[in-house]
Amino acid sequence: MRRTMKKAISAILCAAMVMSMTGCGSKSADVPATDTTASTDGTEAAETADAAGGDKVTLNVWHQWSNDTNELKAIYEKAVEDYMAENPNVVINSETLDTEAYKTKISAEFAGDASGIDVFYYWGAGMARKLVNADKLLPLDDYLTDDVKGRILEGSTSAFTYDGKLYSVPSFSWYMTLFCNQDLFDKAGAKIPTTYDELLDACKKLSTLDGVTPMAAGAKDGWNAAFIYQALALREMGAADVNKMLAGETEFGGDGYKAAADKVAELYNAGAFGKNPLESGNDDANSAFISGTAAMRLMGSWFANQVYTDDTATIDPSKVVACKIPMITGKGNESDYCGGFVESFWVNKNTKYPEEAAKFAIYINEKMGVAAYETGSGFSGWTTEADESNLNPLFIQIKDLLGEGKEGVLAWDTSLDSEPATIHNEQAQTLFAPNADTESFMEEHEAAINQ
Amino acid sequence: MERMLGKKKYIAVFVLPALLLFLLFGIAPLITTGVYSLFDYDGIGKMDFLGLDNYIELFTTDRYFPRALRNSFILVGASIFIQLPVSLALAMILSRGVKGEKAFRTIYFIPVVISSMVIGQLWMKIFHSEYGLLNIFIRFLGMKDFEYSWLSNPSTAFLSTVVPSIWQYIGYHMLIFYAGIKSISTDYYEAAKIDGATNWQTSIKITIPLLAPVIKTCMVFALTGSLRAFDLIYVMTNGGPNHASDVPGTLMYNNLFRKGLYGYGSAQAFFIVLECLVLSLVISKLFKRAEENASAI
Repeated sequence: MRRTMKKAISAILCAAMVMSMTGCGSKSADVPATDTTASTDGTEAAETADAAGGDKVTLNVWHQWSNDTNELKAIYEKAVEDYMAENPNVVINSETLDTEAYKTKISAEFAGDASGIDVFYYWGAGMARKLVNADKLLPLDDYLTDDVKGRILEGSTSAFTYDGKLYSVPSFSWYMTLFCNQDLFDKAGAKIPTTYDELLDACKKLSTLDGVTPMAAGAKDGWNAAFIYQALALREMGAADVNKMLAGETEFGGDGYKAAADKVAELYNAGAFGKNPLESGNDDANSAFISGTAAMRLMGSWFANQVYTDDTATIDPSKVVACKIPMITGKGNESDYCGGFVESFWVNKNTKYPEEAAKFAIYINEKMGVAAYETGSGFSGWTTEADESNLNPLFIQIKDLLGEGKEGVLAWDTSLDSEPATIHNEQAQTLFAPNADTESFMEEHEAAINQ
Repeated sequence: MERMLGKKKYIAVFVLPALLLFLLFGIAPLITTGVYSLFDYDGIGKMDFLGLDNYIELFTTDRYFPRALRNSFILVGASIFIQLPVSLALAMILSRGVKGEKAFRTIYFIPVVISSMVIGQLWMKIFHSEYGLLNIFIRFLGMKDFEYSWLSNPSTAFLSTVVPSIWQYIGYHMLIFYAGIKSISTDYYEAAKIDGATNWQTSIKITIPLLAPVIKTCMVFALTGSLRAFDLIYVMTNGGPNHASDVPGTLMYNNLFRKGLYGYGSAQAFFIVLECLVLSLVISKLFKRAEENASAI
C-alpha cells in the first residue's frame, strides 16, 4: 500500500515537473514571438521572397517612441508605411522601448555586433562617440547625393561628424527657452527679464506671491538642474568657449564657470526656486508651470507643445511669453543659444544591407525632421518645405528667437562622455541647496572633464 | 544495490532542471561579472586588463563608496536590531491567539505584497516638505524647527529611506517567525504551565531557544536584503542629494548604466555578492551552538 502510494506520488511529481518544464519551454518561445509579431511575419515574408528568387530586404529599425500617445510615433509609423509603399522590395520592422531601457538595450546590443539592428535612433555628439570609436557605425558620406546634401540646413551636422566623416544626417533640433507666465508677472509687478539682474529682481518680486514659485527648477532630475547652470555658463562664457571646452580643446575652469555657479546659488538664496527644489523633478516642474504655481520655466522648445495640449493645464497659453536666456551685462553674445541637433537615426556598420539601410536612415531623418516641425515639437534640419498651419503661437515665438540664433551649445550631458556627463548633472544639483559649495563644484568638474 | 543506483538516478533527474537553471542564471552571470570586474571596460569598446585595480580604487580613491558602505551597514544594524525584534514580538503576540489573529496577520503582510515603487512613492508623499503627512503633524504640534525637507536634506535623506525599508519587511519576517512558533509542539507549553511558568518565562525559555534556526534564517535574509538594498532608495532619493543616501547598490547602478563604467560597476556588484556570502557565513557560525541546542530537544 505504502509503496504504491510512493510510486503514485513520484509519478505525480514527475508529471508536474514535465508539465512545468513544457510550460516554461512554450512560454520562452512565446515571448519573443508575441513581442515581435510584426517582425517575424516580416522575416518570413522576406525569406519566402528570397526563396522565390526575389530580392526583398528586411531592415530592423529601433527607436524610442514607445508610447502610443506620442505624436512622433504616429508620424514615424506613417513615414515607414509610405516608404514601404514606395520601395516594395524593402520590409521595415520597427522595435521600440522606453528611453532609459532603450539606451541600455542599445548599449547591450552593441557590446556584440547588434546583428538584430540595421538602423537605430540615437543621440550624437558625446553619446555616439563611444560607438564611433568602437567602429560600430556606418559613415553615410558615400550614400549622400548632392540633391540630399542641398536640402540639409547649413551648420546642423556638427553633432554627427566625427573625424571629418558624417555618420548621420540631422532630423530636428531644440532650443532652450525661458517660458514666462505674463499673468503672474503682472500680479507681482515684475518685468519679463532680459538680463540676469532683471531675472534676480523678478524672482524676488515673484517670491512674495503666495503659493507661487518664481522658477520651477525640477532639480530632482539632474539634467533639469544642469539646464539652469548651462544657461548661465553660456551667458558668462559665450557659446564658442563652451563648445571648445565640451569638445576637449580647452579645459574646464576659470572665473566664468565659477561665476555661473555662484549665480545659480544666488538665485537659490533669493528664493527663485522655492525652498526645496530638489524635491520635484521634471514632470512636477512642468505641471507647476502649466497649473500656474510657477511663473517661469527654463526648458527645451518641446515644452511649448505641452503648454497648449496638456489637459491638466489651467493657465492661459496665450499669456505665456517665450524668452531668450537672460544676458549677463557686458558678457556673451545675444545670438548664442543652448540647443541644436543631436537626435537622429544611425546605421549599424554590421548591417547586411548597408545601401538600403543608409537610404532609409536618410529618408526617415528628413521625414521626422519636417514632421516634428509641422507638429511644433522641434525645428527641422532640412530646407524642405513644411506646412506651418498647425504651429501654435508659442512655438512661433520660439522659432523667431531661433531665427536670431547663430551659435548653439548642446546640452552638456549629450556632448560630454557619459562619466563626466553624469558627474556634471549630479554636481549641478548641489547648487540647489542651502550653503552650496561652489569651490567643490568647480573641483569636481575639473577632475571629471579635464581628465 | 540496484535500488541504490535507481535512487541516485531519480535524485539526478530531479535535481538536474533546478541545477541547470541555477548554473545558467545564477553562477554563470556571477562569473562573468567577476571577470568584467578585472577590466577597464565601457560596455562596447575594447577591454583592458587591470587586475585588482578596480577593487583597490573602491577603497582608496572612490569618495562615495566608503560612505555608501557605511550607509548599508546602518541599514543592516537597523534591520537586525529594530526590524527583527519588532517582527518577533508581533509574531509572539499573534501566535498567542489574539482576537482577529488572521486579520492582523494579513494587515502586517500587506506592505510585503505592495511593489517597492509604490511604497517609495507613498513615503515620498509622507516626507514631502509641504503637503507631507510628517510635516503637517510637526506643524500641528508647533515645532517649526523640525520641519525639514526630509528627502532633500543631506543629513536626513538616508535615515528617511531607512524607515520605509524597515517597515516594509516587518510583516515578512513576522510571518516566518509566526510559522516557526506555530510549529513548536504545545506539549512544552503545557508542561511549563503545570510547573507554574509565566507567559514571559515560556517566551524566553521555550519559544526563543526553539526558534533559533528560524531566527538565523531571518537574520540572513535581513542582512543580505540590507546589503543589496536598491529599489526603495533608488525611487526615493536615487542616492542623492550629493550621494548622501547612496548605498553600494545605487552606486553600482549609476556606474553601470549612467556612467558606462562596466568594469568598475561590476567590481562593486561582485563586492556586494562577496560581502553577503561572508557575512551570511559569519551568522551561520554564530548560530551553530544555538541551533544544535534547538534540534537536540
